[in-house]
Amino acid sequence: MTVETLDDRKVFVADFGVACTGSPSGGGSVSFTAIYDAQHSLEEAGGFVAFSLDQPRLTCVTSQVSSLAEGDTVTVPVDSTNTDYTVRVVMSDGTGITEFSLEKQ
Amino acid sequence: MSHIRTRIRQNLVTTLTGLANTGSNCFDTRVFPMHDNVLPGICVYTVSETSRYPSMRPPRTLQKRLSARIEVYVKMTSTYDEMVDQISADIEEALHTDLTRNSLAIDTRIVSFDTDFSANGDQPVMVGRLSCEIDYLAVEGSPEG
Repeated sequence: MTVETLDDRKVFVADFGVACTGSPSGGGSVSFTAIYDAQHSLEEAGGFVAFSLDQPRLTCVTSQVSSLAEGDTVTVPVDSTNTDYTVRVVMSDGTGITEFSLEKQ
Repeated sequence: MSHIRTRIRQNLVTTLTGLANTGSNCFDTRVFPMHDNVLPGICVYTVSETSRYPSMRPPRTLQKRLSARIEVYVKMTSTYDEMVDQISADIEEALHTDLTRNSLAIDTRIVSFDTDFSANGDQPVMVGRLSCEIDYLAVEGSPEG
């Protein structure tokens, strides 16, 4: 049993989320609310120095994004500018929340 | 005057600055992370050197073999591997124009290439590493030539 219920976590998504649009590969579009986060990271990739990168993520309510899968496009307002990303990893936590790892287009 | 090794490394940087895909993003012994404003980019390092003593009476001639590493940093969607290969081709062509490194060395050879990847950021990143050997002569006690 999780400490927070799904309803508790939906409140966070509703309060701190932004309005996003997804384009499923099957066609159409889906509107959903998600918390956008882009934590900074120094990523080692085998060189003497690291890459300075962001790690964009969306935290979503699973039922709102069930039609989206890896490879689909989502549009997210970042600093008030609509920015297109490709969903690269879909991480459902099994309690009704799904996190997307994003690739900037 | 500076150490011959320094001048060879500086020659490598000068030679590799202004290439078609990397432009001015070529750095001498960069230690700070690579970010969007300097990508794609090239970093040049001299990593080791060996010396042989072919003559017996001081001051002896030194046959030096300098190992340099030229690293290619790329961040982009989908064709990152092709970009690393293209920049590597640019580097190979540029180095070949003067194997003596402006008369500082006897020879320059690229002896290996390898790569690594990561997809933990907002776009895939890839590093291509070219290892070079540069042979040059010096006289012991006169490292600045």
